[in-house]
Amino acid sequence: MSWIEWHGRDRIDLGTQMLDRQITAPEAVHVGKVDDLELHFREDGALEVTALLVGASALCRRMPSPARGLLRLAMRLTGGPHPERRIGLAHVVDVKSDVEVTAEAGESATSPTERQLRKFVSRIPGAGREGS
Amino acid sequence: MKKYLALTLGVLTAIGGFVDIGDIVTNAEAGARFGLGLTWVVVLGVIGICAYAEMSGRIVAATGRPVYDVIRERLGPRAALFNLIASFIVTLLTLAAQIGGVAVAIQLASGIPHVVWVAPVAIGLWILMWRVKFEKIERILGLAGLTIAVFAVSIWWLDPDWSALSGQVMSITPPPGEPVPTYLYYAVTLFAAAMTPYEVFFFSSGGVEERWTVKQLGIQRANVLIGFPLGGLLSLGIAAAAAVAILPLGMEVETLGQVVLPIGLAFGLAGMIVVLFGFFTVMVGAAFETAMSCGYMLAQYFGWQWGKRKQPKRAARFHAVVAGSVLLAFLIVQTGVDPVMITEVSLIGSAVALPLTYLPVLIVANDRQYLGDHVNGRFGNAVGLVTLLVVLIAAVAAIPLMIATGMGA
Amino acid sequence: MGTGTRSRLHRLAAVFALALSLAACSSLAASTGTKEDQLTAVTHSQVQTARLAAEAGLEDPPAPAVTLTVVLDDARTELVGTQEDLAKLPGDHEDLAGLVEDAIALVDRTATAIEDGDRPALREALRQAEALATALEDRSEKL
Repeated sequence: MSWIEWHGRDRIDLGTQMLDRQITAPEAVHVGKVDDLELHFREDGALEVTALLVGASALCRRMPSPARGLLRLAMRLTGGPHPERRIGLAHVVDVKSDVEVTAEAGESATSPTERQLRKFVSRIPGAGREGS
Repeated sequence: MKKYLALTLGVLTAIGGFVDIGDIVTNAEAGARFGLGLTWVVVLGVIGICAYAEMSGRIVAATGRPVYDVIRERLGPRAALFNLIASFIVTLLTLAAQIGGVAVAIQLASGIPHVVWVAPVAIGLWILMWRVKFEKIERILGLAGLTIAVFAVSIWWLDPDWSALSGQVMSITPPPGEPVPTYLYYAVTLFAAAMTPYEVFFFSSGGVEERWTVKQLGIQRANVLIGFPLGGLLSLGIAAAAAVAILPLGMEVETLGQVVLPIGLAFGLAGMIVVLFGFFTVMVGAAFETAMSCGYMLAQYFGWQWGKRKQPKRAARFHAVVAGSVLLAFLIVQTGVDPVMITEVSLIGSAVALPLTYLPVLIVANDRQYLGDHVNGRFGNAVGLVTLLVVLIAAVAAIPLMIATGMGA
Repeated sequence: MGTGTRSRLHRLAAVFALALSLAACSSLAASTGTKEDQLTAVTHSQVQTARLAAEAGLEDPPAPAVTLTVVLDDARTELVGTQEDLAKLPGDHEDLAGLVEDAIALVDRTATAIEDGDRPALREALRQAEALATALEDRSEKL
C-alpha cells in the first residue's frame, strides 16, 4: 500500500471522510458504521490507522456519559455487550461515500447480536424468501 | 405509457404518505371549530413537505442512500443519537395512534369496543409487513385511501353557505370571539400533521427500496408535486365537511365517530361504508409506514442491514425492531388510552422534533460532496429556509401553547 | 457570538415568552369562562352529537345503526362524566344538572330509536335535541 496514494486519494480527513461512514461488503451487504479507528504509533513517531472498529462498544467510547449509559443499557438488553469487531486496513477495497470492504472482512465483522437474531428470525416461515 | 403508470403509482404513494390519523383528527377538529379558517396552515404544510420530500428524493436518487443514513455522517454520532431518540419516540407514538385509529374504525363498523381489536390489528399489521411486497402495500393502500375523498364530495350534498366557506379560506386570523392561543394551538397541530417526521424517513428509505436513480428524478418530482397537494386537498375535504355540518351546531369534535357523522348525514349507509373503509386503509397504510420508519431509523444510524429488499433473515435486527415497535405501540394502545389523545400528544411531539428532521435534510441537499450537480437550486433553498423558519416557530411554540390552552380546550 | 449578545438574546427571549404567556392567559380567561360554563359547553356538544346521529339515522337508507350507536355511547360516557364533575362542583347547579339528565335521557332514547329503526321516534328525538340545545345555549352567553 502506497501511503502517498490510497484508493485514489492522497489524503483523507479521518473525522469527516472516515468516521461514521457506512461500511459495505460486496452485494450491498451493510456491515456497520465506522464506529471508531484503531491507531498505532509507528517507530518514526507518526500515527497510523491500522483498522476500522465496528460495534456499539466502539461507538460508546466516543459518546458523552448519558448517551454512553443508554447505549450500554441497550446492549445489555440485547444480549451484549459484545466486543467490537476489527477490520484491518488491508481489507478496505475502496473509499467512496461508503467504505467498501472484502466479503470475508464483512462476514467476520457481523454483529453477534445479528447472528443470534438470525437464528431466531430464520425459524419464522418466509424468512428465507427473496427480498421484495 | 410505462412512464405514466410510474407517475400514477408514485402519486398514489405520495397521497398515502400524506394522509394519516393526525391529518384526519386535526382537520376535523379545526374544521368544526374554525371552519376553513386554517386552510393557510395546510397550504403552508403542503408546500413544506413538498420541498423537503423533493430534496430527500433527490438525495436518494443521487447517492442511493436514504436521508437518515447521511445524518450521522453530517451531524456526528452524538447529535445524531439525540435526533434518533427523539424521532424514534415520536414515530412510535404516531404508530400507536394509527393502530388505535384502525381499531376504532373497526369498532365503528362492528360495534365491538376498540380495545378488543388492538391485538388483531397489531398482528395483522405485522403479517402484512412480513409477507406482502413493499410496492404492493403502498399502491393498494394508496388507491383504497382515495375513498376518503367522500368528505370533499359530501360538501355538495350538505348544502353549504359557499360565500361563508370561501371567506374562511381567505382568512388568516382567528374568527371573532376565539382566543388567539387556541387558534395557534390548532395551527401548530395541523402543521405538524402535514409535516410529520416519519414522512421523510419513509419517503427516502422507500426510494431506496424502489431503487430510484437520477434518471427518474423528473417522475419523482412530479409524484411529490402532485401527490402531496392531493393529499392536502383530501385532508381539507375533512375540514370542509366538518365546517359545513358541525361548525354551525357549535359542537366540538373529540372522537373519530363524530368525524364521520357529516358523511352519514350526506350519504347515509353507503357513505358510512365508504368512509370507514377509507379510514381503515389510510390508517393501515400509515401504520405500515410508521412501523417501517422505526426500523429504518435505527438500522440506518447503526449501519445494519435493512429493508424489504433484503432476505428477511439477513436483516434480522431490522425486522426485530419493526416487530418490536409494533409490540410497543400495541401495549400503549392496549392500556385503553383514547387514540385521539395519543394522536394529539404525538403531534405535539412531532412539532417539537420537526427541526431535527428537516435541518439535516436541508444541509445534505446543499452538499456537493454527496449530490454533485443535483444540489439545491436557489428556489429550493428559499422555500426550504422559509419552511424551516416556520418549523422552528412551531417547535418552540408547541409546548407552551399546549399548556396554555389545555390541549386546545 | 459574544457573551454580551448572548445574554441580551436570552433576555429578549425571556421577555417574549413572558409577554406571550400573559397574552395567552388573559385571552383564555376571557373566553373559557367558569367551570360551569365549560360543563354546559360539553353537554351542549353531546346533545348536538345526538342530533346529528338522529339526522343520519333518518337518511334513506339510514347510516348504519352500529356506527351511530358507538357515537351515542361515547356521548353518553361523556355526559355521565359531566354529571359527576357537576356533583363535585361547590354551589347550587340544579338547573344544569337537570339539563344534563335530560341530555342523557335523550341520548338513550335516540339510541333505542336507531336500534329499532323507529323513524317517528327518531324525528321526535331530533326535535327534543334541538330544543335542549337551545335551552343550553340560553344558559350561557358564550354558546
